[in-house]
Amino acid sequence: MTRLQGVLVAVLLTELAGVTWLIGREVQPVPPALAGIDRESLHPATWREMARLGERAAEGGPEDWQKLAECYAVAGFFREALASCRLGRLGEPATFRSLYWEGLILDRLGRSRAANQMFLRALKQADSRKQAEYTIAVNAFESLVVAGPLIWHHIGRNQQRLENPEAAERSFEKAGKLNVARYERVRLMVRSQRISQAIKLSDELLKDEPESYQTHQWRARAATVAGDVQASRRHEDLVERTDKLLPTDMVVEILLAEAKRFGLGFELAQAQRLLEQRRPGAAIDRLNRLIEEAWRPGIARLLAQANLIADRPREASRALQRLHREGSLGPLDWLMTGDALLAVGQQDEAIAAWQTSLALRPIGETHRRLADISGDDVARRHSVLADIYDEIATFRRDRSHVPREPGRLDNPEPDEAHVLAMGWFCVAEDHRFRGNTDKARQAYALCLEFDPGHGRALQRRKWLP
Amino acid sequence: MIDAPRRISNPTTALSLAVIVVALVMWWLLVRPVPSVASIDDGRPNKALLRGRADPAWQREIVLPGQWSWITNVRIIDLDDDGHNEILACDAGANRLLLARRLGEDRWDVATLAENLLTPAHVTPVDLDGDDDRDLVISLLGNIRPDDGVVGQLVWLENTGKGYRRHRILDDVRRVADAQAGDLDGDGDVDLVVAVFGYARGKVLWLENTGNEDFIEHTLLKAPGTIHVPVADFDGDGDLDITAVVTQDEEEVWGFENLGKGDGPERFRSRRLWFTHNYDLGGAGLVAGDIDHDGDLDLLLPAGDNFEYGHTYPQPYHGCLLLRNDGGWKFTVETLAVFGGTYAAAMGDMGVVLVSMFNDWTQRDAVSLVVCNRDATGPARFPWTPRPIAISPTHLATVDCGDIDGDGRDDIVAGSLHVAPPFDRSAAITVWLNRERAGQ
Repeated sequence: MTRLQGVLVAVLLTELAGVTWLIGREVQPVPPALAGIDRESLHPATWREMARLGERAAEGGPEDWQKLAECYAVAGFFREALASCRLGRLGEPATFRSLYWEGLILDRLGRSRAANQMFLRALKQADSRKQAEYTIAVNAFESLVVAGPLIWHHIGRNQQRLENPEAAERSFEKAGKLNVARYERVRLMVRSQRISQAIKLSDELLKDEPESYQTHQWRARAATVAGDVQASRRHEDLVERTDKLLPTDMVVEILLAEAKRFGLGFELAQAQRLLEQRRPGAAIDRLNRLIEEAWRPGIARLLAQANLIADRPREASRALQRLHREGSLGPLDWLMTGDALLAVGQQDEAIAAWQTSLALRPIGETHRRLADISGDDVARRHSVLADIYDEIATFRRDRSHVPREPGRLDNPEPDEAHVLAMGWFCVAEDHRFRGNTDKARQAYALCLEFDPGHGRALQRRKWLP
Repeated sequence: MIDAPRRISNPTTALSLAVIVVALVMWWLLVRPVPSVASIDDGRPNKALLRGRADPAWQREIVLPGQWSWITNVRIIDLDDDGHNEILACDAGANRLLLARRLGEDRWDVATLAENLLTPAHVTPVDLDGDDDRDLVISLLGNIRPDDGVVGQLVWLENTGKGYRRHRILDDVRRVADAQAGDLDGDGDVDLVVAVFGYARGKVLWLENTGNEDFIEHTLLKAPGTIHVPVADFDGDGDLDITAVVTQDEEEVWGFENLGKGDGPERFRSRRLWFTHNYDLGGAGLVAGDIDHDGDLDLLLPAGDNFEYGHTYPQPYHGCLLLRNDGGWKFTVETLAVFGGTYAAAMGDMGVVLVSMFNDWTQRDAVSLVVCNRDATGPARFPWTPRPIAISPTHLATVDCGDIDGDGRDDIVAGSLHVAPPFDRSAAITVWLNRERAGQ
């Protein structure tokens, strides 16, 4: 062997080593580094799941990579999720699931055009395999949704982000009868002053979703533009007397639903399920393990609730203690605190907790607790107020409900007079809604007796014929 | 004498060819795109993901620490009229209103002014009852998370000289995000404008002061997601008008021209001043000020709110829009700055200050606070240059400017709303004192 040949052999061997390393890098890609992720910011249950999925992906196949991508995505690590999604497809045929998820991830990364390209590829993939019946779990719908229309909705929404309303509308049309897509079309029609089309489509949508208050809102807006005062008022009334939220950001809804498959989200969903199955003991065990690893307000709340259900008020009280120091406590937390304190015999502290709950926001349940525990006159006042709050709550979510007239209170305090006015206003509104003009007039008068500046009562009274 | 070329043997030729071929394969393997976290932008870096370093010319002081704080509003104001500015802050995490006084270098006293305020979103100092002292009007969300329930309130804390007496102005409403004050009907007392944010249902109200500690409610607009309602004379005719930013479902800015006559809602003529089809813009506020120094009031619209989903990411359209007042209720809209997750804006003698709630906090050098100044030499589309001031704390939701240390120059205060991880660069309330040399 000449000297030149020796040099060439050495270079060749070095090159081959490099090629082997480069190929190895692709065959055995390293999962996007957990090192870049702040460990302290994650609950250990989530961290463990990410690490486990990462290890599996490094040694496993495309499905493992895909699962890792989904875990990253629901935890908000979109860049890592995208890398995992793409690594999982290296040298493998693209699956619908992988393409769809890449679309979702690109959508969240703000790359609307690229997201739409990926969604179109996913659609093509589904069609080519005649698997148009792909379904996706959507939390808000509490059901499975056929992927095709939903993807056209995603595409339309991205067109809106890109300020292409015409392209968006065409995409929403392709989503067919999907309610959220029809809702977007109504909005686009009102914006571009195609009012008669908007009225027709929103009426169709309301036939299928009569309790959707957002649709009533746009129907009212369309009626206002059309100059139809009666229809506008009718639908404005229904905005306040219906209770169904139409979720519009489906990408977010899907990510929120999928979060229940991984880490802390999975653990909490399981604990919630155990509570629904009336197995509080099992839920408590699970939640105790989680909170010992790392305290989180969401775990503490559920643990307190589970302990109350299991009739363990002392443990419930303990679970709430740190929440009192570090969490944001709302009226329902104070209500629960009072319940726990009463159960361990601390009646004065329980009353104080319920009064704090009322100071934050009065609700019927808290008044009811105080009514149950107080003396005659105070109990009666709380009972009247509890009834009014309960009636108002039912009035707002159920239009078939006829609200009862508020009970009487002698010499009401200003706050109590205010609640009485609210009660009479609901009664008046219901009478007006049902066309009982005289009764409505009387109820508005009583409302204004307790609150002379009640603006809506003053306005609505003028609407009466 | 010239040497004859040496003969190269066949094995040498084969080896040479092999070296070349393998080198080409190696080159191809090296240059072909391999997915990795670093390469996901496909060569198009995200301009909204602003990264940088803390500016040492701004001295940072932590007023109130807190890992999971929910500070929703900060204001610099001399509340007790002692010639020194204090900081008023809404603490939605602890349902209270705070007052912070600077005692000296990095020393602060933080006191609770009022408690049991359910998720306060905004505090407005105003003499509401005309008795020559400063009362406080507090807008209460009732829930920081998306909630379409009737959970909001508007509370008046009447200054009694010894403390504050609490009155409920509104409670049969959805989440209240803002209230602004002014004599809207010219009768000498102070009326209010209220942004009922709600969630998918909301409205803009004006509350007519009847003089008996009572207010009559008039509806100006029914639209969900109104965050701020600045009150000022936008058309220069001597009376107070209203503007409002709507940010849920629709992304739009409305103007309500005070006609100087008429009752209730008829006193105002409403106009939509601007809108976008981009539902995801994330409008996060509206600030009035003469930005272009032409004598009328313009509007700043910070955009980057994606609160409906905790895990958000800087979007290319995040930043701050400038709505330049051209007169006659016409506004020209231009981009003032691109800055991921921009959540609030304020103006001071240093320029326009922007804070970010949703930059990419997984990046340790992601910027949380910038100052924007006009750059005459910059490209025409982005005439304002955002200059990083801070990278910590993260998740800044509210900002104000004013002289905190009494040196005659404006400083900056910001509050953090730590609703999502990471929690490793946390503080509840932070100030940055201007230590820049003159001319810098």
